[in-house]
Amino acid sequence: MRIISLLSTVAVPFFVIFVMAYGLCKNIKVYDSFCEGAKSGLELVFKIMPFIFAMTISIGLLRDSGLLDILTDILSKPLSYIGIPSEILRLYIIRPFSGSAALGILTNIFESEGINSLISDIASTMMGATETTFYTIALYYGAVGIKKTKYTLLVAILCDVIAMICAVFICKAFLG
Amino acid sequence: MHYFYNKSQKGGYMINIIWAVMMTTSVFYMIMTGNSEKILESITSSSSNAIQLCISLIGIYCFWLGIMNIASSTKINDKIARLCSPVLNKLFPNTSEYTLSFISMNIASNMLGLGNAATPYGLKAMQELHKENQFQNTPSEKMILFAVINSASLQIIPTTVISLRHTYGAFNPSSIVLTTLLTTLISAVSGILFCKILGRNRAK
Repeated sequence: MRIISLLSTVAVPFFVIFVMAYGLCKNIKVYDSFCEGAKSGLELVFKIMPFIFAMTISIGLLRDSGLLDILTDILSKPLSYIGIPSEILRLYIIRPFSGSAALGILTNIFESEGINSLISDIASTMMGATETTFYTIALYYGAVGIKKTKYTLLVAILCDVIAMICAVFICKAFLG
Repeated sequence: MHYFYNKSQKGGYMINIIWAVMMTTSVFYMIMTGNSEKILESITSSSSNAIQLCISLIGIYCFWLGIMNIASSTKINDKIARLCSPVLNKLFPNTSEYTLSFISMNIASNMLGLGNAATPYGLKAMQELHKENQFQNTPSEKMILFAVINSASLQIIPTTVISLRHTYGAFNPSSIVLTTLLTTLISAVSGILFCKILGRNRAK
């Protein structure tokens, strides 16, 4: 585990130095090449800007109106009978929309349930094993200007549901 | 007939419906609960947040795509792609090496938890995949698979969560590494399987 975390901190500087050095060895105009690539970064952000904008506003409204809380309250009742804690469910519902809001809920769980509780472990696992699905999909299809996503959203949400269920059962098995 | 054709072109995209529902119900609910003065406040703060995010993204994307451009002119990225090709060729058959190099860089950065580097590579890969796509308005199977892989987390070490657990004084902050890895693996593999099954059904 140590090795992997070391690898992830060393990987970036090593990669940058390696690419530069290799480029110089191959007699490539690294400066010109870098600037040319950087230009495409600028274009890329301009392309995805409207999608980030639209998503951020709608998620902000959903959160500020209090509808997100109501939604989680309605959904958490029936699911709590299956053995999925309602606190986790709140995290699960927000996770696909907003990473920062999900982190806020995660810290709430840490505080209310205790950091060393099983629920905190489940929540941590959930958080680490999923992504901000809606945001990611909007971004990736935004970059190519596609609005018809076919079965992407269906599969992505299904994956999130599977991750939620797995997190509960795997944590119960390994850490419970 | 023309009317119906237009209608199917205009509506029915899932993301449009979801977005419209999110916007209208939130605004409607805020009016109903007497918080209508908060609507503009919320929109204003979200807008400035979004722009701040975009500006910080410009810096990160420019840097990583600049580095990637040097890499691609030295042909290192072809080598990286070839290194990953045993797996990637199965997932993304008949894809050019140039595209595969972006996909492999995206997946590698995702695994190392470098989300900021992963996204520009991923978006670039998506654009390259779209160039090979025969349709203009609908994603190819490979594009769907790629989007699904990116929306399932591939991170080996969930660094943010671990550091947060450390801050809150957990006995063993990294005890969730194994459970997270297993969970991610199961959900990512099932995502790939779903994509392959659904893609095959649609093709027939």
